[in-house]
Amino acid sequence: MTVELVVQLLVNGLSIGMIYVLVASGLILLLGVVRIFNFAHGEYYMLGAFVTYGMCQLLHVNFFLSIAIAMVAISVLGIFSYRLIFQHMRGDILLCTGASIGLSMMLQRGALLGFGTQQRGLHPPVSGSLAIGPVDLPSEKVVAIILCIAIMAGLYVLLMRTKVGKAMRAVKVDNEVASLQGINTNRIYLVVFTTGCALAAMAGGIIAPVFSVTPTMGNVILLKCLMVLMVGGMESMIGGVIGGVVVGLITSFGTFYLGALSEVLLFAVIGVILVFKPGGLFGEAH
Amino acid sequence: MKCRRSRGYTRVTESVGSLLEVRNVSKYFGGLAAVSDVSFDVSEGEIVGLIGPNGAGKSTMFNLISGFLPVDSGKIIYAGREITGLKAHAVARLGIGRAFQAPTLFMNLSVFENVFNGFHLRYQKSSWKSFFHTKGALEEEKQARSSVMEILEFMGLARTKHVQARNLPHGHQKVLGVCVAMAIKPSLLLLDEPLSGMHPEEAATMGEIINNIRSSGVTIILVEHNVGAVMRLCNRIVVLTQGRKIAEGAPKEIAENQEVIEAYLGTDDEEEID
Amino acid sequence: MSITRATKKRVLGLGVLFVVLALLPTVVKSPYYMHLVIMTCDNIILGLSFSLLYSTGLLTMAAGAFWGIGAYTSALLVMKAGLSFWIALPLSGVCAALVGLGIGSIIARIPGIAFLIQTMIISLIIPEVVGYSDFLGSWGGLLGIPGPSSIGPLRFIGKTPYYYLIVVLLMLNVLAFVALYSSRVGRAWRSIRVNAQLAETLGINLHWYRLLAFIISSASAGLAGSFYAHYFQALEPGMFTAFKSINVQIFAILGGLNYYIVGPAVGAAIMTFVPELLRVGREIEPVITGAVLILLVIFLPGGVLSLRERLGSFSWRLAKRAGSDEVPAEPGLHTGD
Repeated sequence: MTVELVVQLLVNGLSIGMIYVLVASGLILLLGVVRIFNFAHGEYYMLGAFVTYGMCQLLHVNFFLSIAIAMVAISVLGIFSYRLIFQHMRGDILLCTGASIGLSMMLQRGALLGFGTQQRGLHPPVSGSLAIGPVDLPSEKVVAIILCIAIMAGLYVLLMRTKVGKAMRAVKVDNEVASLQGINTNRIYLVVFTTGCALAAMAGGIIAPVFSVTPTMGNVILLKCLMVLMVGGMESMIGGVIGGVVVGLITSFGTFYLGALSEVLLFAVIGVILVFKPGGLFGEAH
Repeated sequence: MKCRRSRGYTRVTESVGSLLEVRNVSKYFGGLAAVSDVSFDVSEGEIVGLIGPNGAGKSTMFNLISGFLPVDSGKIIYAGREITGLKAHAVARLGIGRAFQAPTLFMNLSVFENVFNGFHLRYQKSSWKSFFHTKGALEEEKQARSSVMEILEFMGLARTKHVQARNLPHGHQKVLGVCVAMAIKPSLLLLDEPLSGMHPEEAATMGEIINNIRSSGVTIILVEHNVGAVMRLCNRIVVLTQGRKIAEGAPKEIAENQEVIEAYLGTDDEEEID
Repeated sequence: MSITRATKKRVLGLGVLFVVLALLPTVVKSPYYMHLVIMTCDNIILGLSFSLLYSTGLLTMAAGAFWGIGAYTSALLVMKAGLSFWIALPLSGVCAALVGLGIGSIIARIPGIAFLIQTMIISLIIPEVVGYSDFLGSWGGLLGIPGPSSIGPLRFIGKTPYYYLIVVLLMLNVLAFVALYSSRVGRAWRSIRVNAQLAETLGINLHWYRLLAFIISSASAGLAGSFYAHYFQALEPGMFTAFKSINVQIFAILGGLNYYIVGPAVGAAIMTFVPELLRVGREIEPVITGAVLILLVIFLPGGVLSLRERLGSFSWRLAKRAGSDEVPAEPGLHTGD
């Protein structure tokens, strides 16, 4: 167990962990502010990856610009999803579950039929490896980590410093009071939903050069995000960050040492956490 | 303190000391003390009023007593038995009933069914017998039904017994909430703002109901903003402000207590004094 | 209407149903259709187990997982431990119940979306665990699972004996659930579902009743799985992915969530027969199912049976009373408290 190995696994874990953080943040926003759960969230991630791939690999658009385009495209899809479907079922788990599972099935199968099952790889924008001390780090993973941190920082600024962000937080705490304060709650719900989709799409784009792009990649990310929510708590952004990193690291180290049993390990870890903190590390027990 | 048991529910019959003792109870949310070192007693047969400006910690106190929130420090003793830390259902089984500020009912069921639910759970002999619909179980059900009608008549809701709870006017819903709380035959009843949102006539009716309940042997603690009603109904009043108890005593004493007056005038609180 | 009269009507209705079901194999000769009927019955049991939990207010995505647990347990008990099917069947139910107890003690404490997510995680993990275990047959699964051993003159060859077996299991399940729903336990469950906070003030131990529902639901799903293992005689992890649990949820929603017994029956029947009869391509089926689900949830959240209610025919009122709320509640379930 050399230092080099540990660092590699750490970087690996952080890169996927930060991706989980991005995607999970979207879900946490949805749950906390809009009060819906979207099982098709993973599909937005997947479609973001595909659009990025399409733009960057096939149309030779700049990588970062491709991600931005993906973000916009998926946001539009998100707006449609919200207006047509989710708007009417805020607060109702049953309807949300049913509708979002249906949406997930359609999008996933549609992508499978449309794009086929082959794995696609995106050439990384920055290739080669970064040497830090004695260790060689794959640069696309480092780029991924940096991008994710940047986006999370941006999200933090958005939530804490901007008017929109404060409105979002107000709506989260108490939407009746917020509307009495003159906040247009309907618009906030739409904005938050779209932000969530955008985050997922960005994550998909960022990860496209690191791992392969397939129509079923949404499944894995959804499972991991569900785990992040259980670890960190479903409505806490801090929980999302810590949960994402924890899940990422366990996945990375677990897969190396235990192979496929890393999922079981994660499952066991979550079980233990839930015994002591039923709401997750930063969640509420009620 | 003698307690007569009835299928898991305890009914207090004789009293020596206080029915309820709250001892140095505190509850913190984050760093903020919602309730801070509060102590008071409630004797059997009293109607005690718990008043204070908004945010004083009254509802929190109720949640602590009825087991909906865990106590951070202090003790709560009911009928000589410590109930600190017991969960809500266990507290209910010991004979503490609760009505909520917002009408908390089985909205899709009728008035009758709402109260019946409370009874059913109390008196049903055993799951197995009801599973097989034995004659014993059926007898019990008949008994429960007549007991439900008793309560409804006592509270004046008998005529609306088939109306769906969600279709009742607000005032009736609050009364129904009290009925349902009474279904478990409590010895102590916690009423959270029973008069809120009521017209003067409805409030008067509720006041009568509260007195009738006390006459039937149930001790009552009342949280209310309607200070005038509290003065009329209660034997004793406990005043909370910002989580601390600042006064306790008979209505007249409280009305003349400087600190209490300041506490109310100091906030922009709206009170109705009839 | 007192319980006695309602019970009598119920029993009468079931009697009629019994006769119809008993004579079915004489009418339906095709093995293909018998297979569909058998599958429907197995699916109805699953749907019933879902609705049982829903009557408590809990939405579960783990029905498929417990079905799989029951199926594998039964198969292994017979194949590796040499037990007879007739012992393996109840044992699988017990085993599924124990797993339900273990998992439920942890997750049944917080209802709502957290519970749903946790059951979803379970339904995603369990097939993986099975797939990676060689002892459990890995991804290829278990093949050549023997059918039930003969009891007396009844030998399990052809579809008919399996049909009767599943119908008996289904009827027992229905009777048990109806009895539960009309008992104190059922009342407690429905109280929890409609207003958990109020139920608590009435002395109902929320966690205990939810856990009980979870255990019974798991056992029921496990029995359905056990039957299937020895009927289909082959198992693989792909059979009980999250997709299966999603299907179970669709049975219940499609039929009508407020009808705890008849709802899943109608939903399972429709979902089992219609895709087959329409010869929808395997490829495109999820797209259509997904679209139907979305439309269903938006336009007919009460399910198919909610249409019937408006017509108010007698038989449906009877069916409704056999295990449902007195007055149908809104089918929605709100997140948070």
